[in-house]
Amino acid sequence: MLKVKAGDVEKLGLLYKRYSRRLFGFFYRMTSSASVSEDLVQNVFMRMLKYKHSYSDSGNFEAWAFHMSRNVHKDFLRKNSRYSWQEDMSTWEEQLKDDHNKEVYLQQTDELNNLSRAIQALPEDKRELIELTRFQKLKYEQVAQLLGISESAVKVRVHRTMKELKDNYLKLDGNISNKTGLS
Amino acid sequence: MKLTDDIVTQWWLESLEGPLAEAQQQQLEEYLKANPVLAEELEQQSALWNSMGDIKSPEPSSEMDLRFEAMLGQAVAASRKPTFMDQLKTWFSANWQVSIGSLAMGLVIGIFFIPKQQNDVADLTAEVQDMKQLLMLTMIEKPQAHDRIKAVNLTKELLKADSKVTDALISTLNQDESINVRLAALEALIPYGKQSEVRQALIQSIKLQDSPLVQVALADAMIMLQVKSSVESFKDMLQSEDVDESIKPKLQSTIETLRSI
Repeated sequence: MLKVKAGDVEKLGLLYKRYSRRLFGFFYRMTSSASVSEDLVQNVFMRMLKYKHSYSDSGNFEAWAFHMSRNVHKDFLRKNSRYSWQEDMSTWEEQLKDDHNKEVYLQQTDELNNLSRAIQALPEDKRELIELTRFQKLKYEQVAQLLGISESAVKVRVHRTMKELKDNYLKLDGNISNKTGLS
Repeated sequence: MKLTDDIVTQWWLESLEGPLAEAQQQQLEEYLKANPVLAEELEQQSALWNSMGDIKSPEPSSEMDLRFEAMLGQAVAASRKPTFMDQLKTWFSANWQVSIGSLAMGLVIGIFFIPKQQNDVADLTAEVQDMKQLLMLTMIEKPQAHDRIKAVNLTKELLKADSKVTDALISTLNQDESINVRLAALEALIPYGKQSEVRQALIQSIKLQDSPLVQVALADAMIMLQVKSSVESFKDMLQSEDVDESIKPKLQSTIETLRSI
């Protein structure tokens, strides 16, 4: 990114190859729409070009990219007032927009589908926390910086979110121990 | 350190990020053995955490890549073609000392620029004069009499005619087949009558003219220019049988006038 900042704009292509799928996953799990997610990924990279001068020499690109992605997502939510998440788990399949990813999700096992539905049923901030810590594998320290809270606070929130996720899952599945193979 | 549920939960969360130190892991396991309720809760959460890893990752369409490539292509092209103003802004912002220096230089150059501008105007005027002269010399060769009259009249617009112009006018006065053109040439030559070459040429022209109109016009011109030396030429004309009788009184009065000057 430092090369992009210095004017070698073409190098953004390498960053795109490395991060676009991850960012798409972030947006997809936050919006359940492939076309919206693709637009938002494009927006993120456009912003990277526009605000390349703000990238710090000592900065971490991954953290910067997710910081930008969160802002892009917030802007999207603000501009689309009709867009809102229903926490009705029974309509999760309907919430998934009609694209090839919907098919992929529906081909998963019932357990994984229930888990996906349980995640989608989480409030947005908690869903984002799971997305960042579990799916994007960011360190607690990085998430703490992104959210502007302490690392301990992140851990506490993750623990609480996991509890809520388990409750959601149990509502769907009834018996988590049997389904996940836990004794 | 005395372990609590909170501390152990924190350690468990840390273990999700990466393996704990051996001693810490051992302490964690021992604590959970002694606290089966917490152990069960954390195990269930661990199972969920691990299962999340099996959820399929969504894939974007190839269109997303194409759109990015198009966007990047435009950005690369834009970055390679900065506008002149951008370059200027960047350069001046990086070289503000030069900006001040340029201003000072501009003032100095400006002082020298003003007379230069006057020189430019003079040069331009001279060029126009040259063009007019060239045009006159070209047009005076034209077969149409009115073109030649125009050419002769062009000399009135010349600020200063050189010998090429006066030679052309004299040649026209002596040789042009049109009387009107000859008369125009004579009229055009009068302003140059102070030049000895022109005066001499006019005197010699008296003998060459066969048109009474041109002869009378020349007689008037000689009086106007006070060319006393032309008296002999007019005397010869008076003696000549080729000269129209109707103009001889005019020639006689001209001789007398010139003598009286």
